[in-house]
Formats: sequence, structure tokens, C-alpha cells
Amino acid sequence: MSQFEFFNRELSWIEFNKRVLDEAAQDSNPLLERMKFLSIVSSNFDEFFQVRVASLLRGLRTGEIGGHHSPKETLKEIYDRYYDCTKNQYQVFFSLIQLLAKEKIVWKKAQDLNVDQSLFIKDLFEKELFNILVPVKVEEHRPFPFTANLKLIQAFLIEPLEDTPGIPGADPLDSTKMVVMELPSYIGRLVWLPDQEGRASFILLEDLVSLHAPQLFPGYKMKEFLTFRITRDADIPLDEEREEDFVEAMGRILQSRLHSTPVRLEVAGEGKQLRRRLKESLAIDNAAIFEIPGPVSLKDFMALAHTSGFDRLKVPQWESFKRIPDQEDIWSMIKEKDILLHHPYDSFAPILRLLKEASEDPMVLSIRMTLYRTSGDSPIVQSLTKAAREGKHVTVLVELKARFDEEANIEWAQTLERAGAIVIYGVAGLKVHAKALMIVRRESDGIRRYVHLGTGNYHDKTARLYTDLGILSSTPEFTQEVAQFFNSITGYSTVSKLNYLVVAPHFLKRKVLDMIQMTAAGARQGVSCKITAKMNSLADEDVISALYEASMAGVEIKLNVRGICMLVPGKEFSGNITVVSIVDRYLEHERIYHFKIADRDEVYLSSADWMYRNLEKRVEVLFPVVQKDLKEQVIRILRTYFLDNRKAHRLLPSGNYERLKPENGAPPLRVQEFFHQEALEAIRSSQAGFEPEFEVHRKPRKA
Amino acid sequence: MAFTGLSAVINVGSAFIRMVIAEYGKDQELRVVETAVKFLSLGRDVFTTGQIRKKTMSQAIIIFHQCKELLASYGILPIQVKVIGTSALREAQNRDNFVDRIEIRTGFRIQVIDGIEENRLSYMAVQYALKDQLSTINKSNSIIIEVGGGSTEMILLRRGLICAVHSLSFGTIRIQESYRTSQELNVGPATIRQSLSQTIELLDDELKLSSIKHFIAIGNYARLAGEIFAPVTPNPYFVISRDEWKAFSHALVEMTPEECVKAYGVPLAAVEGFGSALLAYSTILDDTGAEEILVPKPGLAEGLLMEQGPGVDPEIESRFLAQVRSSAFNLGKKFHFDAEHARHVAELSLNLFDGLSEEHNLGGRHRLLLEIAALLHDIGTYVKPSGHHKHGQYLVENSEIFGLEPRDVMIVGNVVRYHRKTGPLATHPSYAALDREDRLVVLKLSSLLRVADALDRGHTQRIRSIRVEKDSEEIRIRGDYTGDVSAERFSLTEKAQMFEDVFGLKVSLL
Repeated sequence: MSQFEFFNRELSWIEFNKRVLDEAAQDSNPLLERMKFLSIVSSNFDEFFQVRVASLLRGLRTGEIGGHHSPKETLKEIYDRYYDCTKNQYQVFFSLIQLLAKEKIVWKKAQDLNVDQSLFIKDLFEKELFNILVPVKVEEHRPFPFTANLKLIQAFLIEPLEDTPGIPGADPLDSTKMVVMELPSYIGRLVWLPDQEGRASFILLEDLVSLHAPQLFPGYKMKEFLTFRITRDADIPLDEEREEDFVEAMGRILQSRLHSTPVRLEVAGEGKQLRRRLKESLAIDNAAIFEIPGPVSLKDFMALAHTSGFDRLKVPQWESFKRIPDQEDIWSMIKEKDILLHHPYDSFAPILRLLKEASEDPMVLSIRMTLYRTSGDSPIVQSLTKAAREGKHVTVLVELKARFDEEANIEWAQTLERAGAIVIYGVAGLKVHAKALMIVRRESDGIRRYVHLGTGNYHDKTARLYTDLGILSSTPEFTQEVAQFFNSITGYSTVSKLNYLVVAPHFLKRKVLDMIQMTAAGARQGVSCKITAKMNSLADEDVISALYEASMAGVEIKLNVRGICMLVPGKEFSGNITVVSIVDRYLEHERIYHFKIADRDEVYLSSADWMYRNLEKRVEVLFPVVQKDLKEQVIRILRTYFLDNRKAHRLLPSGNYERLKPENGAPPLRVQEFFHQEALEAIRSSQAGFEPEFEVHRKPRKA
Repeated sequence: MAFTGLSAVINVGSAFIRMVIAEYGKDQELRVVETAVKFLSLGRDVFTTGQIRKKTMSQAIIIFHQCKELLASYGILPIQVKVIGTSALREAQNRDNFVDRIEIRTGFRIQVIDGIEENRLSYMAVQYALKDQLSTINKSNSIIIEVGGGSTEMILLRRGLICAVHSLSFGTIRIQESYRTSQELNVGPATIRQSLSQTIELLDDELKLSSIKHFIAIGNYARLAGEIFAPVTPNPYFVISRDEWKAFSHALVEMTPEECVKAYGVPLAAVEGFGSALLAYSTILDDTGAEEILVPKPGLAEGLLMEQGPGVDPEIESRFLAQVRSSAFNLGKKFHFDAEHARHVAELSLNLFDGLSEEHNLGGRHRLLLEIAALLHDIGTYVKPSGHHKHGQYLVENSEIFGLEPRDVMIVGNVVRYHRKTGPLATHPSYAALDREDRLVVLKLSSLLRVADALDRGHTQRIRSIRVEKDSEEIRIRGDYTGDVSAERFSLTEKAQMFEDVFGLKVSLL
């Protein structure tokens, strides 16, 4: 294994975020779409620091060091690249701001406000903000005031006015005070201003507040102010062995995440003294303190992308095709044959409809499903609640450990429980990441199950933004195994090896390795063999090593890996491997694995990436696409993904990515646009047959 | 209620609790809807301490609650579920307490079945799993074997017909317990061979083991081996080659429990005795001519569901009856019975039974019991001709007849006992032990058997066949015979007394 090389996981992730940034920099993208990418870069980094950097830091502290790369060097490299990336990000940001101003979306600073606007914010400050802002004095030799994770905080350096006599406790030698104040998040970072000239003007909350801050400190004058944000460790483990009440324990973890160890400090604004004091007060390494050349946390600028109007600055709406038309009976359609759904080109509506109908259908006995992430006001949760109230047997496996969704998950899980559903709060030691749904229906000829297995979450909102594949089926041999799977994850039964479904952590990794090795063995015998795969991330060293072996055996390997890729292509051990990554308006999220040995195609879909955590630390499902026509469809989808030359980047042996261009006369192709056009055609042809005018029958007129 | 098409069975085994939910399709064929298995170390408790521990009991309650929850999703209530317990429960000293607590806490009523009944259910399960293979399997000899934690069940089949059934007290947890000093997880090959050597000799007498071509391994250990080692298959059974099986079992006995758990993801409760069990299979396998092991995926639960079905496949049913007959016949052979006489009396008894159905009002099950009793009525002669009806009863009650439940065996024993001499008396313990209904059955069947036996008094089958004619006072048996039947006539006057008392009808031979 030592002859093989692997890219550093964390640095590869940063490379991914650079590709997101690159989309923000593309002139060809509409302005507000570019702003969206820019804000995504920020929220991505937030998560990265909270989880990955935090875990590296913890590794340094405890001395637990794994992998090929030293955490110390990795950290240094992360900080450097993050710094460079942020510099670029703000360059793009300011150029976008300029371009937006031309389009009448104007960012106003305090000094640019006209009278109306000044009055408006004065009013806002005095009526709404004044009462909820809580300045807290920072005292030396006392603990630093509580500053919550990722909250925007303003710091002020204030000094008594000379004509203010006898302030109690004033230090005659150093009369300046440092005050910190958390900005309320409910108001929104971007405050829209009245504008007579038909522009959309906004001011940032921190500018608004600092303009009126003196009112908060009567008798003082403001010497300095700045804005900062602390990122904290969110990777606090749950002691599942010890914790009795899982829900309660999760609540405690969420609490502790608010004030766990700081891992990053971002500071923006002038103020040398404040900066110095802040550094002294917070136990944070200098290297983890970043000067931000603009407003902190650009993720709040996502609000711009959602501004109403300005459609010309946004990407056009892409309509989804309903593969199960509303007028068709959903049960008979699934019963007739398995149905492949490719979201968001295919609408997620059939899944919602299936659940809704199941909740009302007297023939339905039970519904079982996994929920990893779902939206707060999810129609899925509504249907499940309804079904439970109707007396149907509803079993939901809620993954409380789904990071950053824990809080929301606890809430609707309890709603479900109150309605009478059986809620299972995950599996000890593992995250249940599999996406599966099963509806048991009692029909005239006996029990029949309807199942859905997919690569994406049951989340009606992200289903419009993430590309995913799913299969609806009622084929008994297949649904029988889904039932088995549910019995094992709900604790009703032990996990057994199944014929179609391959379950992680028990069997999935072995299966993937076996398939790769089988393909390699075929190649060694001189048979033409190919592996084509698409996933979010490739980060399991065993799998990558097997791919290297396969490459050396002569297997042609084409990988489409959107995010992290630890595999090094184009080396002597990986000469037959190419890796591309697509970053576009939808988040590429399908997991498709295609092994071709001579003329035999084996195609699998999965909830699992080829990452250590998916293969060994999660409950995942891999399932074959068996029906011939569906298999052909999936192969075709997968193949098309490799034709993109507009939004695809090629991974180079150096670890850098280069944007692909149409070469050798190949027609330009943007794969998401391509699938969208297909969906559009499908919509049009489904609507065809209706003439734009009705032909009406009338009694023939007499001459 | 609306859910009559769905049934469920739970099997409480030595190392697991297994539930099967099934429905019967339009063609009345059994369709398994769902199965669930949870490990529970009942066997370890019982075979080492004789008792089910408190902790295990609590675990069992949790598992039964889960079963209840899953059943509720099909609208099935615990009361509608048949729950059977096998060897570990059979032997647990506190089994009544266990059964009671489960019922009070969860509503499930466990019924403990005996080894031979277990055999019958296994046989049904095998029929179900291997239905497409049976025509091949039945061309040569085969063995169905289950090695469990506390007992081992075996069925030997000669060209598809049962020639012997056994329920041995050999169990892997039990044997381990007796060698506990050695600190091993699994007892080694030599010990296993030694413990099984007598059994192997016995089996070889009944059916030359080397002539066995099909080795069918059932039970939880075998199924576990199938799941771990056999290639994944959509068929209802696994196939493992003889050499592979041997290699696995030898590898397994070398492992510590922890290694085994880690390597195969099997809970500790299942690991115990796993290696020894596979070795035991492999030890018997060695003496047979089978090249591979077939491991059916269904178990006792499916067997029971098959049996309970609304319409058992007539083919399976008639094959099953043939198996029971064959098993009884082989028992008779073992005690050197007069096969011609036995068969003939059985046939005459059935003629009488069929001709007098309005009089006795008994069903098919009792017809079978009469047939078995007739086949075996004289086996007591093997011990001593005088009092052979009493010896016969003892032999029947202590032998293994495939397909009969304990209650059936009691009836058959009594019918054998009363085929001659004194009729039933309240002071006869075996008779008194029967409930009222069964006592009536014994009376009716033994009076029929007496008449039939009288009709072959000379053991010469001179009366080849009979027809029954009846009026309100009398039944006339029209016999097809040549030569002198005075011995039979005389015997009839003597042995028809009980018939006259029971049915209120005189009997005459025309």
C-alpha cells in the first residue's frame, strides 16, 4: 500500500470550495447566482472549520494522529489556502457589489444615507434594536463574555467623555473600556432601506448599529469599533453508551456546541486596541485569527440572491417533469414496473404524493421510512403525522446525529411521536444515512409493498437543488429485502446478508472492494473492463488502493467526484484513471457505480460515498439497478455526466483542478442544462395533444 | 376480522427468537411476508444452569414487545400468533414461570413442543424450501439434521421416505459445558467425534450412511453458516461444499468469541457453540456420501405455517402421511413384527373405519392414528408374547414416530394396549391421563382394531378384503375369502364384544 499516494482529505476539500468560488467568478453566470456561489463558499468554510479543523485541533491536543499527513502541517496548509481563498473571495465580492450597483442593487454605507434612509434606520434602532441589544463589558482578569458560535458580534472601545464626572469604577490610568455585543440574527444582516429612486438599497446591520451605538453608552465616546465572529468546535461526540435518554443528551450537546473551544476568529474593521485586546482575551492561536477585508460572513449575502424581482440577474426557473402524472393511479404505475426518478429534473412530487396518498388510503397498513434531513415544515412529516393519526402503523427512523440538523430533527420527531408514530432515534454508534421508504398495502390479492430507495434525502426543498436518483418499486423480491432492512435498523431483527440490498457497515465496503477486484481480475485476463462512478467524495484508502490496483491491471476508470477526492490520478499506479468534478447550479449528489466486465454491466445506486465514514461508520444501502431499461437509463445518465465541458473540472496529478473547455470540435455541453432540456421536452410532449382552442359542438346553423 | 389471510408464528429457539409473518395466496400457497430474528441466549442459560436467568427473561420480554409492535403493523394481535418453544424451553426448570411472565407482560402464549414434533415441523420447512429439488433428492437417500445448543434432531430418508427419526440430547452448548475446564470456545473435533460415535453407528444400522447423497442441514447454526459463508442466492436455500464447510468449522473452533463476533458481526449469543455445531454436522457428513450441504432458509416457523395453512398442498399432505406410515412401519421392523399381518390388519381397520364413518364420526387424523396403531399393535411380542399389548404400549410411548404429536402417541399407545384383553379402566394410568374426548377416541379405535385383528386371527390373510353392510341393529361384514375361516369367526365372537358395547351394534361375518 505504501507505494500509493493519496491527496490530503482536507486540502482536497478546500480545492472543492475553490471550484465553488470559481463559479462565483464566472462572468457567464447571472450576477445574483454568482453572489449565491460566493455566499456558499462562506457557509462551506463555516462547516469545515467547525468540524474538520476542530477535529484536527483536537487531534493535536490529544496526540491522536491518523493518516499520512501530519495535522500540524495540514493545519498550516489549510490556514494558508483559506487565507488565499478568502482574499480571492472578497475580490470577487467587491467586483460583484460594483456590478450590482449598476443594476440598482446598492449597498449603502452609513455616510451614504439620504435623509429618508437616516430617519428610517434611526427609527428602527430606537424602536426595535435599542431594547434588545445587550452590551457586555469585557474586564481584564475576568472570563471573556459568552460569545456564541458563528454569531456576529460587535466590539467597541469606549472612553468617558471628559465632561462626564465621576464614573464609578473608572480607572484613572486606563479609562478605556471594551464592550462586546451580539447582533440579533432575527432582523437579518441586510437591512433594506426605503429608496425613492427605485433602487434596492440596503445597509448592513453592523453599520446601522455602530452608527447609533453612542446612544447605548451615554457619557462615553466611541474610540474604536469592529465586528468579529468566533467559530467553535461542533464535533462534540455523544457518549451513546452512557446516555440513557438520547433526545435529552442530544439537546445537551447542542447547548455545549454554543460555547465549545474556538477554532477560528474572523475580524473586520479598524481598531488596533480592540484587536489586541480581543486576541489577548480569547484562547486562540494567532494562526487561526483572520483579518477579513470586508464584511464578515458573506453567507448572509445569500439574502441578495433571494431578493424578489431582479429576475434578469438570476438563473431562470427550471421546471421539473412529473414522471407520475397526477391523473394516473400511483400504485398501479409502480406495480406495472419500477420507475427511475432523476431529481430535480424529475419532480420530487411523486414521492410526496405517494406519502400523502398512503396517509389517506384505507388499504395502507404501514409506512416505514428513514429521515436524515428534512425541511421544518416538511410535507413529508405532515403526511406521516396524518397517517399515524389515521391509525396506520408509522415507523420513522430519525437520525438525530445528522449534523447541524439535530435541533430541527428533535422537534419534528417529537411531533411525530405525539401523533402516535414509532420514532426510532438512530442506531447506537452509527449514523443512519440510508434513504429508504416502504409502504405496506393490503390489496385484494394479498400484501404488497411499495418502496423507494434513493441517493438523496427525503427533503422536499433540497430535492429541488440536489441532483439525485431514486427508484420506486413493488417487485416482491426487492421489496422483501427492504422490509428486512427496515427490520434490522428498527431493532426488530438482526442484520442478514441479502441478495440485492447491500448494507453498510456490515457488507457494503466488502462488496465495493469485491466488485473493483473482480473487474481488475477480468482486465488481467485481457477482457475489456471499465469502472465508471459518480459520487460526492472519494476518501476511503482501501477503495482507492483497490482502484489503483485495478488501474494497473488495465481497467479504464472514469470518476466523477464532486467534492473531496483523495485519489491521485495520472501517476504510474493510476494511469488509467481520470477524475472530473462538476460544480453547477444544482449540487451534484448522485452516487452511481457502474462496473463493466466485457459485456456484463453491473449498475448500483447508493446512499453511500466511497468514504471511510460512509463505509464503516454509517448505515447505508447499495442496491443494484436490475431492470434492463432502467439500467440502460442510469448508464446513459452516468455517461452524459462525463460529456460536460462547461461546468466540469479535471483533477490533475498535482492536486489542482482545471476547468474543461470544449476540445477537438466537441460541442459545448453543460450536463445540467442538457438534462433540463430533456425534462422540458418531456413536459411538452406530456402536454401535447391538447389544442390551444376547444372545438365546440353546436347545432348546425340553418341557411 | 379483515386480516384472516395473514398469520404469524414465533419460534423461541436456544439462541434466538424468530418470527415469520406470512399470508396464504389465492392458490393457498404460503407466502412469507416478513421475517425477524433476534438473538437470545436461552440455551446458554438452560444447558449450563438449568434455569433461564432473570436478565435473559427481561431481554425476551423486550424482544416479544418488538414482535408485538411489528405484528401491529399488520393488524395482528399476540393472541392470534402461535408461539412455539423448543429444546431450551423444554428443559428449563423455570419454564412455566417464563411462559407465564411472557404471557402476562406481552400477551404471547408460548407452547413448548417436543423433539419429535420439532422434527415434523422441520420436515415441513424442508418440503417448503426444497420443493423444486425434491424430485431429485427423493431419488436417493438423504438426511435432515439439526444440531442445536441442547439437542440434535435427525431424519433419515430412504429414497424420500422416512426410515428413522431421532431426537438426541447432543447439543453444542451442553457438550461444551461438560468440557468447560478446557477454556475453549468450541470443543475440538476429537471430542465431537467421540460424542457422536455411538449415534453414527446407530444411524448406520438404520440406513447405510455412505449411501446418503443429500445432506440437509437445518437450524440456526446451519442458517448462520449459510448466511456467512455461502454465496448469496435468491433460492430459499444455501449450498456449501463439503470441503468448505469443513474448513469453516475448523477455522471457527480456533477462534475466540471476540474474534468470531468481530469477523462475522454475529452477536455473542449466537457464537457460542457455533464452531462445535458446524463440526458436528461435518463429523456426520464425513461418513455420508454427500458432496455438499443444503441449508434451507426457512425454519420451524415456516413449517408450522405450512401445516396451519388453509389448504395444505394435497401432494405434500399425502407425502407427509406416507412419511408417518413409513416411520411407523420402520419402527415395526425394528421389533421384528409380522409385517404382512400388520399391513393387513391396518387395511381391514381402515375398511371398517371408512364403512362406519356415520357411527364413529371421527376424522382423517384419527384414521391415521388407527392405521399406525394397527401397524404396531403386535410389536410388544418382541419383548414377550404374553402381555404383548402392554409391552406394545410401552414401546410405542417410548419410540420416535415421525409426524405424531405427544397426544397422538398417547392415543396410539392406548389403542395398541386395548387391542386385546381387558378394556379400558379408570385405574389404568395411561388411559386416565387422557382427556374425555381422547378416551372416546381410544374406545372407538380399539374396538375397530379388535374386529380387524380378529379377521386375521390366523395371520394368513385368508380374508382378503371386506365390505361392511349395516342396518339399525347389526353390521354384517361380507368377506372375500376361500377356505376355512373358523378361527376368525371364533375370534370375532370374542373380540367384537367391545365393539358391541361401544357402538351398540352386533357384528357378524358373512
